[in-house]
Amino acid sequence: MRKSKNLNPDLEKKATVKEKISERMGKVGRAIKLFFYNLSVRLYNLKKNRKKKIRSAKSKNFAKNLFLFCVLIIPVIQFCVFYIGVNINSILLAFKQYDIATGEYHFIGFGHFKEFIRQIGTDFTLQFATKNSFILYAIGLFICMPLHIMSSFFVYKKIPLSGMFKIFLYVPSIVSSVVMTIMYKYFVDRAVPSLLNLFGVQNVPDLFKSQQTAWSVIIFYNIWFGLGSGIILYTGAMSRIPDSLIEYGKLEGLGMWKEFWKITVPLIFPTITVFLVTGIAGIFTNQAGLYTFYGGNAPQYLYTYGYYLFVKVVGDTAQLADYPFASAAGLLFTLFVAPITLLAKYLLEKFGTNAEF
Amino acid sequence: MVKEKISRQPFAVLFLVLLILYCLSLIVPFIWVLISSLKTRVDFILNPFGLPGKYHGGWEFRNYIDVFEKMFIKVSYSDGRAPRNVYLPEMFLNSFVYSIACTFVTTLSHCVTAYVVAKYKFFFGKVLYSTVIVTMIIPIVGNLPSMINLMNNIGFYDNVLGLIIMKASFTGTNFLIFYATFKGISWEYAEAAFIDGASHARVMFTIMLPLAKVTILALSLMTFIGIWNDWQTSMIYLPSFPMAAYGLYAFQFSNVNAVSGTNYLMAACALVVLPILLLFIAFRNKLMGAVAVGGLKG
Repeated sequence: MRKSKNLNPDLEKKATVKEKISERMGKVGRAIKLFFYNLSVRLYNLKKNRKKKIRSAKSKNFAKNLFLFCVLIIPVIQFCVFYIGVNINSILLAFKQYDIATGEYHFIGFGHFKEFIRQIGTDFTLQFATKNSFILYAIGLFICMPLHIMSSFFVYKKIPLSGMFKIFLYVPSIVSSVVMTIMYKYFVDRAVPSLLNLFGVQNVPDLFKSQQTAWSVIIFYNIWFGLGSGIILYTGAMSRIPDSLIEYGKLEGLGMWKEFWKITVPLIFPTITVFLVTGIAGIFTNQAGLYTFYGGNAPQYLYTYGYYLFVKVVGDTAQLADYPFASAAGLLFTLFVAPITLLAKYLLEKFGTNAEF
Repeated sequence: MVKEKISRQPFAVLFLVLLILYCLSLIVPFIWVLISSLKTRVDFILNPFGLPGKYHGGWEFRNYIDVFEKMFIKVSYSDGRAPRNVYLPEMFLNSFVYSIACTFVTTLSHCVTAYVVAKYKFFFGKVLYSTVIVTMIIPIVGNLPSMINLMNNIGFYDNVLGLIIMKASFTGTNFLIFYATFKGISWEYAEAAFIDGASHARVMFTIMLPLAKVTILALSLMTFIGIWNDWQTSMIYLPSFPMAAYGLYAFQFSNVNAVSGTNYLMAACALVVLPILLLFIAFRNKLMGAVAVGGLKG
């Protein structure tokens, strides 16, 4: 506070007001402290025969362990119940069946797994879900990710207006997805057709309900909405690259494009790895915003795995009897995606750059 | 930072244009929402893309008051109580109470665990650190039914306190950020305090945590924003305690409201975003640059 005194008269004014307040608060605080101190001294004097306490190394160690125990006990129990417990319960649930008559679950073995595998081959909804989920993942990987990294690079290089971009790019990650979705939904639904009419395009179809356009509208939404959060994390990683390295590159005559490939990408590779590794599970969890757009009634041709599993468990379409089936499907997906994720992590860390700076 | 001249780089110009278009695509719908929220229902239908008052009414600032007074969602109880209507002010109150409590508990859990693991050498600490990394790497798909099932069984379903406990996990990115922060703070302050006879808890609360207050503030804000915006958790686990973001979601599918209509929905959108935008404007320097993920090293 004192340092800022010479810099700005406004700040100084604020500082003096703050100091005054804190001075007064300080007086009150000191009075209260003194009161408690006196009280504790009196209490201490009451027990005159008190033995002088000498803390041995053993008791110090005990105090440390007691402290660690007290701090960790609640988080550890929480983790045991809500991570380990939930996942064990999920595995058990996959082998059970819900009895509507008694309202209880009982074991049936591998029935749900067999049923799910059979349905993947025959059920139209699931076939759409397979296709859509992989398309969304591929778009995320091959279009969104390069777009995120390139845009982040330009924001990081302080191109004109980069300060403004930074603020605006934060917006999608701080505004609730439900607000963003409603905004997008009604804008596309109401404003876009009337805009197109202005330009002479007649008979615009209902973009969210027509089979030709709905999927593209959803894909566009996912690219549009996802752009911001990616850029925040990438620019965060890029800003940690030491300036000296970039200056060195300049002296060596690296252009912007070469700097991007030779310095930036290798040095932010750990961050890219995080996205690549954690993104794989997205194939099976991405709901693509469908629940916000359509509630539980999305058209069959828009389904993704994430949405498929979600509506089995939540909302008007959910039934308790479907819980074990959804668990079995989730377990199969996990068994499929976990090894791939671990392999990807291993390969990326082995063959990718991993510079310390 | 070294500034670049981009005029000679066609790619850079292309991306500049792309970024400007992207920012416009964020601003235009937002302004459209604000303008639409000030129209009458008839005016909105006749004139979806223009200033209010072209065909009907004028600038209807009353819409906001109407939404606040009349917008509701119906809440039904599983234990046989009669269903009732919950209005927007109550949803806002729910959102504030739940978001603040949940932010406090979650941040405390992350912060305290990360502090202990970063600053004390003990075997279990290493186990905890590995646990965090492993839970982040191994993807688990579809444990939602099991979670709902468990919450029901232990009586935490539709229970605010229960949900806060469920959310108070120490794993996740925030743990790693706190861990890195505490690793970077010198232990000498603590040693000096120990010599003066301070207890472990005292050192943690009065010395070490205040040293990390910038990180604590930034992550609390991020957590708060995340919880405020999270409408799905509220929908799944707290059916009789609706929050503003969920209310907004439910409202768009509702047709029993006295204030149903897109203009009102847009006003509600603006109201739900408002606290978050104010927070962001007030703390944007603290928030921006607070997030950086280094890698997943076990």
